[in-house]
Amino acid sequence: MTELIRIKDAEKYYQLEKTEMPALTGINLVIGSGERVCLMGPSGSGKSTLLNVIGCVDTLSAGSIVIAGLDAATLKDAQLSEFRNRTMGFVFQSFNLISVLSVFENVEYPLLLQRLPRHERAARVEEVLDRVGLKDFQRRGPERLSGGQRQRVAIARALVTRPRLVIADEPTAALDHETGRAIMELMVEMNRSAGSTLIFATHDPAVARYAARLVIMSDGRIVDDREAA
Amino acid sequence: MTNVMIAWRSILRHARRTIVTVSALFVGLAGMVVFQGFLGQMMQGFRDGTILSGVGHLQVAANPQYFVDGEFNPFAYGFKDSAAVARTLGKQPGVTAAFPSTGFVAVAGLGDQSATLLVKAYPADRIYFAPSSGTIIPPSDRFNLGTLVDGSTVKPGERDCLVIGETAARILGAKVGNVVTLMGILPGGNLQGRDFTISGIFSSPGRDKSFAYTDYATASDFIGMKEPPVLMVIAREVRAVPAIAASLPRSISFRTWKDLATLYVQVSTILGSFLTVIRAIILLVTLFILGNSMNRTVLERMREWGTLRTLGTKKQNILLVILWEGCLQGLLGAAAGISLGFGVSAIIDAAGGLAYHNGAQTYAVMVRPGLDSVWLNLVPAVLTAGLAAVLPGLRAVRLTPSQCLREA
Amino acid sequence: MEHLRVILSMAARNLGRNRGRTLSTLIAITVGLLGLTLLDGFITYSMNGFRDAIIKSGTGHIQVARSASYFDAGDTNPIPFMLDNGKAIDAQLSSIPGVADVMPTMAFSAVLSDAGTTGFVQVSAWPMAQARADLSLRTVLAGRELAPQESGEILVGSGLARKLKLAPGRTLSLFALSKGGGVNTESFTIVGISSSGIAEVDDISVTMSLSDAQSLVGVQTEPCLIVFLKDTGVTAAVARQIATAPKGSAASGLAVRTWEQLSPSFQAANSLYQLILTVARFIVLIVALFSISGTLSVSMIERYREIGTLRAFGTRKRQLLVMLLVEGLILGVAGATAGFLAGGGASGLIDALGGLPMPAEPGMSTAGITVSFTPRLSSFLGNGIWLLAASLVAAFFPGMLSLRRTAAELLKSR
Repeated sequence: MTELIRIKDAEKYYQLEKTEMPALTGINLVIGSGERVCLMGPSGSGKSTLLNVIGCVDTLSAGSIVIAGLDAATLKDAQLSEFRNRTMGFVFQSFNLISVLSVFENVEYPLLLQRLPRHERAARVEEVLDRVGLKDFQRRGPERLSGGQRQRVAIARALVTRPRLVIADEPTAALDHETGRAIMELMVEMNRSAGSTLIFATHDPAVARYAARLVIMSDGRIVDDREAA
Repeated sequence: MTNVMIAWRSILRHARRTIVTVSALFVGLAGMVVFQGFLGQMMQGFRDGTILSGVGHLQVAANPQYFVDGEFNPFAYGFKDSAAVARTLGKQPGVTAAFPSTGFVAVAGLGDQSATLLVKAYPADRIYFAPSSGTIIPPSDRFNLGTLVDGSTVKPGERDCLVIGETAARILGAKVGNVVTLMGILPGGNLQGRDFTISGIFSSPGRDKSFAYTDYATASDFIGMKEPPVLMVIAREVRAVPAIAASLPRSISFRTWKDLATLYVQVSTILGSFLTVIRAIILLVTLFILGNSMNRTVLERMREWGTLRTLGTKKQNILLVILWEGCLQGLLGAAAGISLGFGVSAIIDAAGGLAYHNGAQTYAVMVRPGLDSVWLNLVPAVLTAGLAAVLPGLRAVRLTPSQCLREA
Repeated sequence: MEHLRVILSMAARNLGRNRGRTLSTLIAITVGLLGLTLLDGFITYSMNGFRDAIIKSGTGHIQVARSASYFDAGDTNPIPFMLDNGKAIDAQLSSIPGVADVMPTMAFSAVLSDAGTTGFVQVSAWPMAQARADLSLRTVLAGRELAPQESGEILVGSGLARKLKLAPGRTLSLFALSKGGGVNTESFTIVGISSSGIAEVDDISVTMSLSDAQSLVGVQTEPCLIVFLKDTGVTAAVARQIATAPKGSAASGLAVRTWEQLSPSFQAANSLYQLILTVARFIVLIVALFSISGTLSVSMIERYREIGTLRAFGTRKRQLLVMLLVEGLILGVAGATAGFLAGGGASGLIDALGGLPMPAEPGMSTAGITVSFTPRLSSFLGNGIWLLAASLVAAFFPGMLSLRRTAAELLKSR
């Protein structure tokens, strides 16, 4: 298994008035291509912070993170943007769909940044929407979708660029149990077929079952890192 | 008090939104205060300049007809005892000086050059010409008739002396010390001639072509009129004029500077209208912005209104809270804007004022907003903000408590 | 390019998220521009009226004289400034393209004397047949106009007539300086009461025929020629042409003054009105700037998570800033368009209804006037450009503030 992510001695602090609040402390983690990893821990354990750092939407206070051979700290903002667009896909707890764009346009958006020709964009969008079962909903606005449908659109958007890494922060937290289960099964299935690495965060043990590897976090530290049962 | 407290805390809770909402009002009124102060100072300069250039704070005549055609026929309107009237006026608390004035039209001749002059006469100690260089602090107890470019003004006790305008001097080829012959043209075509010594030459835009000044004693002797047709009154300040006017006996006619300075009054009126228009624009804009913001606030807090109603709060109390929120936002924005306006004005004045070019010359105008800048801007702003809250407030109380709770 | 198209499309759609907010911002801008348009229209109409009164009641578009000193003192005592070759100068000036007519004139101070009154007056004299055609804004309020072939007749200004209770039919004497240094006097009969519309003129004005004036003052020629143009807009160009007349020609070396240079009161009024317009424009623009900025700030705060998502997916800060600037620009363009339509519509409506009655301009001798609104295209364009600039500035700062946050901070927002 080739190495995709290497995090070494990573620390992250937030400034709260005059106090430094540690969010991550002494994180060392290696994740390989194709792995399905769950970051698990209670609220405030640092899961989202670690996901943000891996997703290059936030920076470390100390330590290093190398993704696909690139040290994130050496990249300028524009370079990081392009790197995220080509390498990663994101699924958020609150779906974070763009309300003024239709389903089709939401999923198409990351491809616009890559300047792909129109016909190729359309083909990819339709393909991925078909896979998530929303091909007939292309023209709808997000406000006319259920929670589960919105998360499907978010998954489609995350995967349309064929990223090496998919990051999902509490992807089922805003959904009911049944829908959440369906969403996780969809994500796992698409992850398997695409061969991408999936890292997701949750505090729900039922959701954590879908991972092949569990990284347990508490108070900003990794307290356990093991294969899932 | 409770309604105001709730309203005040609501505004503070959404401080950023409040700031954004009232920012247009804040900036607009700051600009208004500075502009109003600037215009006020300009108009005050215009007013005081008009008064002290020969109009006076009041003009007092024995006959009201003087104010119709007295300029052309002063002889018909002489006082019976002007000295007594002047003494009485001089005792009034607000009066700085009361003195006689007269005038005549004359043809001035020097060698083979001639010019037509309009000669005005006041007591010598009420005539002032500013020096042509140095810092000028014009006195406030005499008429400031121009800038002395050569020679000196008429001195008390000096007779048959004349201060003429620069352009008139050029026409005549006259210098200080020359003797000119004045041929006064009196009513009925009678002519009266006398030699006058030019004691000084003045410059004053629009006047130095045709005006000349001499002392009152010389003029009254020249035209043979013992009593003046009019007394000029210089007051300590403009505010004292109504009281002075009220103290005059009924047998005396008067006109105040406002009656006589028609151009000033016209300009002042039209400027006031412009300021009102600009202020109306700012307030209308505030009405729409604040109205929309309040609408949104009300909708977001439907659960709050529903809860309050459930606990027993009456509709009118809720309406009052919302109206207070509107008024308080208007008050905050207006107070902040007016304060900024005063602050900016102080900075401008410390830097020497604003340069204004009136088409002929450039001069510095200070910016000193008065108290009227406060209430003329604050009151309409608060009222407008309150008005903006009316429709949103009515919307909040239209629904039943359970509808409010469901709407949230 | 495609991405840019989507960004522009998103900008437009973002404004439609909260129609009430967008609409109230647009109304705020529209009201501001409406007020500004009407103010500009009123000032333009008033100043045009003032200008026309100055030109067509005695000053003309351009005046030429033998020397610059004439314009200092020549209207009190014109004798030293008589032109030797007025007819030749007239012919040369009349041949300049744009010139409608050239009229000789003389003005001087005089003393009016009647049984009980004497007073200082300003006499203006023209050939009456020409004056009737050229000075179209002189009005005769009572009595009649001066007859071209008659002598011994005068018109007196309305203010002067009111003060001295003068009426047509009255005879009085005028004293004036004459050539040789003496004083001449003649009797004249008032045939009419005239008005130029300008109070300070009507308070002291007496009008007579040029031949009567020449007889009174003892001269055969005139000191000044008034040039009337077909279009006021070419005044500066024609004045320049006269001033640079070829050496040796009749008009060479003449002193030239335009109507504006001859009217300090117009210059003062114009300066003041332009100041008011500038301040009003500044205030409206600042208010529009803060309105747009406020709207976009609130809109952006509501969209922090969306903006964070776009950043997470690789949208660059620059691209997002473009989107936000376009939103501001759309608001500015929409507001400007609505404002101009409203301003133009309101002006047109007021004019269609016959104008708005208002008090007379300061310095005018009429009691009141009916004002039309004449907004200028240059003013529309100027205001529009300033508004668009303000829109961009209004969008820039909230945009920069939101983009200073990291994508993570934006994503964490509620």
